[in-house]
Amino acid sequence: MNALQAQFIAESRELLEGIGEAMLTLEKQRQDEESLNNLFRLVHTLKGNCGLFEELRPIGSVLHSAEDTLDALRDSGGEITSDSADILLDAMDFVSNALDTWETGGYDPEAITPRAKQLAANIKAIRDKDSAPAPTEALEAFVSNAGGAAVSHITAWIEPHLCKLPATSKDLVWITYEPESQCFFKGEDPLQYIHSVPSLEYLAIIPVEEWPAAQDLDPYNCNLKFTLASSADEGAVLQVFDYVKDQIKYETLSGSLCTGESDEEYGCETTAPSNSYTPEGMLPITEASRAQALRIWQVQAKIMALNANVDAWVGRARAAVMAIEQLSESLNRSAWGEAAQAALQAAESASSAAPLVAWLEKIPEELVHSAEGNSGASSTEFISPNVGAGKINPQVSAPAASSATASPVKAEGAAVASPTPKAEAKSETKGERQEKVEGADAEHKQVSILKVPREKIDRLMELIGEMVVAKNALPYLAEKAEVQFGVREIAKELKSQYAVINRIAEEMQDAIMQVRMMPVSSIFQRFPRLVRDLAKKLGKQIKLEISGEETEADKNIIEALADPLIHLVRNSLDHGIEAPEDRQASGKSMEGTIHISAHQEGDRVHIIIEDDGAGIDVSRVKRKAVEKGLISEEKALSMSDQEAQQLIFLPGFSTAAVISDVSGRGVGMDVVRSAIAKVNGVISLSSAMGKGTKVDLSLPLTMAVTNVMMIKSAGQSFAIPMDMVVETVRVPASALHLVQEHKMTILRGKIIPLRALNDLLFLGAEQVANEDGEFAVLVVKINGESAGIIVDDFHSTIDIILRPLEGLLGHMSAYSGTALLGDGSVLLVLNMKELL
Amino acid sequence: MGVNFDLIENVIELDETVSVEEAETLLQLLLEHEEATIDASNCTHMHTAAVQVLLASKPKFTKLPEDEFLRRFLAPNWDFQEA
Repeated sequence: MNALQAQFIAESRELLEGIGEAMLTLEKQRQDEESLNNLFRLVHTLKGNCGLFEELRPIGSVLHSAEDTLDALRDSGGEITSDSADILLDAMDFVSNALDTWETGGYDPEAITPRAKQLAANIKAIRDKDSAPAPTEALEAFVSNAGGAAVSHITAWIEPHLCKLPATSKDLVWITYEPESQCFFKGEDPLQYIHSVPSLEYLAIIPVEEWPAAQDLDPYNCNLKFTLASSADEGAVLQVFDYVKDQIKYETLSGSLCTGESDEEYGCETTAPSNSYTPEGMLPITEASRAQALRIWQVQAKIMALNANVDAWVGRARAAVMAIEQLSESLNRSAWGEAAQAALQAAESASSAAPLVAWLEKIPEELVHSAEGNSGASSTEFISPNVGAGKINPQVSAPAASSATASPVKAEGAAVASPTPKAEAKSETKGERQEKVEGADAEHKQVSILKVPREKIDRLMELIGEMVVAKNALPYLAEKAEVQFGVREIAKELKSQYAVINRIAEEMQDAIMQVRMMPVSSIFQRFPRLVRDLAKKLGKQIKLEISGEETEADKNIIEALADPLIHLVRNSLDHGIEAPEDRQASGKSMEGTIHISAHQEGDRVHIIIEDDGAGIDVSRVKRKAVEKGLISEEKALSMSDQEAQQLIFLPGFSTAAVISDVSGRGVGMDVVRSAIAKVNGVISLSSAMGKGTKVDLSLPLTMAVTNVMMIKSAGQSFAIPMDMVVETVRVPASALHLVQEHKMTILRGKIIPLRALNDLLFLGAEQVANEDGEFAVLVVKINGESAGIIVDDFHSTIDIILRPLEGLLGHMSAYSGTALLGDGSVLLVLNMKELL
Repeated sequence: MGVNFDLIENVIELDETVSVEEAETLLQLLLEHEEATIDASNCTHMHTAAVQVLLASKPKFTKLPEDEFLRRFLAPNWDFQEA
């Protein structure tokens, strides 16, 4: 797999996750335009990425269909119904699976094509059913039905170009294509696309914004848009723009509408190159420029009408007048400019903006009323790429002014309504631009996240681990220097150096821990989908609440949690929450709630899964446990409810009356508990009959460094994780009692069963007592019960980097791992849960 | 290289394909040699980035490309004066 592929896969996963999320949001709030847009964008990006790889074409086709459908929904204001969400989610699963096989090998585009086709068809069906014909389609139909005749229906963006082409008998596909400004970075070459347009008849290259001075030009920020016409078949033309569909608008018109002279030698305009690519006409005022001019005028009026602070109004007024002058110049309506100047003078001599405001409000008839009686809708369509509704945008003036102005910056400054006079207006604009650039930079900084493959982090982690071990050798060396070679000075220096290295190593460890921290949201985010699907399958109504998803824990722990958590949530859904009728019968709301939350408590992370379902039926659990022979009948009777609830963690226990495919696949709560225990987690459960169940997982923040207590037994060193150790006591031989061949002792009035470590490990030696005849006993707590381990001696506690046993030793469950000590020896860390 | 500069003649020659990377080179040349003219006769394709450099800095063209597409659709945007 090459780097591009790897990057692609990683990105696609993220996109798919985002898509799933957006889909669920949409399903809930059907009219959420923002989510729909977001969803569309994600699907679009994913589709675009798929286009990088030829063999992913089937996947691309599914996404393409999804994109079209979403686009249609967007246009028609339709909503995503539960059924269509199913279809779309299904399709995304398909994409996800296909990408998985592609990543792991064994991907066969041929094999998945039929399925892809079917999915694409399903998705298309949503579009056909749910949405009215999209407006563009309707328009298209209208235009072709009408034979493309009526002038009043020509979209404004085409109109200025009609005079540039000779009339033909053929239909022309008109396309306006505005590439994204960052398109070059995506490997797009807009001109290359245009080059491949069949039977290209006309091309206008238009700068989106006025060109900056050459030295300020960023060649890689695409500032061009294109209007082109082709006499080829519409489908063939559109195919060229398949990957940039959202950036084009198109319309097919009869070629007879063109009004231009017959095709002269190209270059007829070469003498005036600066004008030739600004095709907006000068006279009379065309519909397109009328709309723009009106807009500019209105913006000026609005700016002047703003409640200005007193100092600023003069500059503002001058800027507005300047804009009007530019406008009049470009439209050859010099009277307007003169009138504007007069109004400005009147305002200045009156020291009040009022005369100018009044004048600006009298918009010339010519601008207000369309000469051709055109609808307002099409004119706004033309300016919409540049002008957000009600937003003052400096770009507004650019296209109109560009056709005639000698100093474009003026116009731009004017439209911004900079409150300073002319000269400063210029620099202001520039400053603003700079700000924009800086803003973009800052944004870049904020999102500068490195994607690092986990192997690299793991390697760093290992190296730091080795560093910690290596550093631990220094004190030994210092001691050796002092004791063996008798050089105290060096020993002293070594020790001080050690302190420094130790500090750095600790910081390094801390830093890498931070890197390895992951928010629990990475596992939480799959729950909405899981709950939705399961709830549907089980016919239950379930509301999922998630909180604290920003809580962080070590990557390994998060990963180890994924499966157990899913199982727990499934259990809650399947066994916990009752069917809607049952809920209603017991006076609860029809909708059950599952709450998943996470929070940090000291050095542990708690994840709590709570439902308001039926709770655990203690008597049934007891009965079942007895039936299965897990406990005796007497024990069942003497058990407290709390104890009985813990029975569900026993291996081979499953209370589901019916085995559904949701839970009860033979994976019981015992598996959950052991999976949690593997990462040193503790699971506890409490349940109230009829009220619900709460499962609390307590997990260490990090498992990279383990604090262990060293002990000695049969001449060897062992270690026990400190979080198990309750206390260490010296028990005189006389206090050891034998009850039915089991050793035990009484500690503060409590019976503690004792086991000798040498026996547990089959070391074949007796435990040794100290000179006073006392045995060293380590009291540990496992699953809430205390037990004593007799060892030979205790040593200090140390921090180690625990490494699991590998290879042949891997299945030795008595040891949870090993660690290297500073003197090079290997320390075996005991797994008490398995030993006892 | 698609962008070559003839120091003696003060001519920037655009050969065959002007790639996206060369847009920057082209811009630099145009900035450093304001009087330089463009000979595009052998140019067959220009990346859009290069096209916008030419549009923004408006150099004089002494030779138009032979390529049909460039000649027909791009050349009208240029300031062409036969040498």
